[in-house]
Amino acid sequence: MLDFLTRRTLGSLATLIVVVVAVFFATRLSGNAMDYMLPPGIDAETKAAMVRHFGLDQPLLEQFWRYVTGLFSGDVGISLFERRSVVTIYAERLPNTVMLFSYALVLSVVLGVPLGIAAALNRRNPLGGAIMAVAFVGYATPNFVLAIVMILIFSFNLHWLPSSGDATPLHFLMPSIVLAAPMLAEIVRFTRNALLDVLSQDYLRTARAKGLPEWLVIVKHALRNAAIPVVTIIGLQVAGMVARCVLVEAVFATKGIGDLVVFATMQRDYPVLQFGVILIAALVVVVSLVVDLLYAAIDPRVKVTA
Amino acid sequence: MTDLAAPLPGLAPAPNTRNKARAGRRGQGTLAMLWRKAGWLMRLYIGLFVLILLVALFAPLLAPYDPNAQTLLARLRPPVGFDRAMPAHPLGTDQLGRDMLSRTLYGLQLTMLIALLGSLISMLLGTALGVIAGYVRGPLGALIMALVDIQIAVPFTLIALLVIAIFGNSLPVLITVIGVAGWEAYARVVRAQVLTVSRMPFVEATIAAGATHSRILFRHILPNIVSPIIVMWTMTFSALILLESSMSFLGLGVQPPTATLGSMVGLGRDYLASSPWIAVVPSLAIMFVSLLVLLIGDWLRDALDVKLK
Repeated sequence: MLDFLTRRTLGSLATLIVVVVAVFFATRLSGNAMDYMLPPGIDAETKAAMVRHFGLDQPLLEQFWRYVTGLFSGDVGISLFERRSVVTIYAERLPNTVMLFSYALVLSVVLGVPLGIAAALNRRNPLGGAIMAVAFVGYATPNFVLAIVMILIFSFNLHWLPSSGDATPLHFLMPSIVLAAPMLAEIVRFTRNALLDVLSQDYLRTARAKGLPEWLVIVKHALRNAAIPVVTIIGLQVAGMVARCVLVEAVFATKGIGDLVVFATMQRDYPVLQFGVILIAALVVVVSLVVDLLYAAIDPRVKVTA
Repeated sequence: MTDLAAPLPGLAPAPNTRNKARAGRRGQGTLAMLWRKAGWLMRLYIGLFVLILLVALFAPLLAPYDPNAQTLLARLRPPVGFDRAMPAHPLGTDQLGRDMLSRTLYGLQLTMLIALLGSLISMLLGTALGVIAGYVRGPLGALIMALVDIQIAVPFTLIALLVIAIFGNSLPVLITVIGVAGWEAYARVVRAQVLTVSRMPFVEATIAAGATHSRILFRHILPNIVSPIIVMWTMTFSALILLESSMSFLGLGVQPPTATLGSMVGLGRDYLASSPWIAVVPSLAIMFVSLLVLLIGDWLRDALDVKLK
């Protein structure tokens, strides 16, 4: 068990180090960021001053050292576009993304598990088939297509929900649903399959034989064991969900991290982009680690095999 | 589709217990076996997919107009069946008076081309690295698997954004990015398969008989791992269509006026309230294609009895 913990943690740490190094050198690959930032035809003196101002004239290793120490002290530079501290910009944006992400996560678990159970228990009648069909379509529909269809229906036709922005909690409803959709579909599928696996086990027959009511058999005996793969799925989907966050925020103009990263890419605002990549990678790595550890805590078999 | 046909000659030279139909000796036989297994619904799906491929291939012949030709007098016309529609533009026109049907056809062509080339790069790169990791092993194999772990850990969209920020967005960059997106899935599966197959008695017999590495690999191991690779290919293909669409939708894919389905949706987003068809037509096309590929992939996985674990 301890071996598994250490190995898993060290692996996460190594991933983060590789990301930090790769991101730094990748953004320097393309030559001088200033070439893209400044308007064409600017005089050489001003340009040199700007390059000096952002510290881009120093040796690469020195820049790297400043950047790594900056990551720990919270000074990761100034946005080339907004001329503000990168950390401040992210601090402003983080709450929206965290909110969106948590709503989506809660939504997919709260809806996904019961729907998966319903699909498993109704596997021989149309209800189960219908649930699985909807789950399949939800899984195959690109996020932005779903977003556009929802905006058309709920904003422009029914006038129920705002189409973009992040002013009120209501603004987060559609983005959360869109973000949750693929994860929700996966959870439905996995809950159903896991439950079907468990339902054919001997100990369930025993539970029924000793006279337990059916709902108790399901909740107490079947669901507990079916929960394990669901945790795995959440862990596997976190990275994908973060990636989709970028898209969803861009569609709904939610002022979050994803929207910021896309904008930084278009503006070639390297300080913002590189910190964004590192921040998001760190979040994903930490969340996956936590899920894995949780998994090991729930499922005693992991300790033996890992 | 040459890619579906090409790897199928496999499953052959070495005894393959999964392949019950001994007829699967040559590609023709395997294809026929698959076709026999398919129900009428699946045959319909496959037929539709082939049709889409043909449409994409012959888009220039089928499109009634130049996809970038602007007719400013016929701007924002809805598809046939709605008010103000023009019979000359069955799917309507966009904000510049460009024919939606022609743009969708050309967009489909480019989207399919990018996804096809991208998935091919993924397949070759991932299979090669997976074979190295599984057959050569050693420190190089460990390094490859470490890279796989890292790519799984970091959301790929971020890597794509970084690459596009560095190299700018052009078609070759987009195809490369999309090609690199899928390699890790192949590497993982291929490595596991190579490890399994190379421990089988017939491979050990070949080694004992003194066969060269290339002979063992190409004649004995690779043909036996073709099925999972094909199944992976259908899965990455639909994922890459979605990735390309997403990037283009964000304005990080091909540059206007060239259209892919994703960039058409992205441009149509600004006209959602007044002219929804500009975004809806290409959206439906993307959804249709990705659903089809997923359905076929799912079926293929069961039909070839592949376990991707």
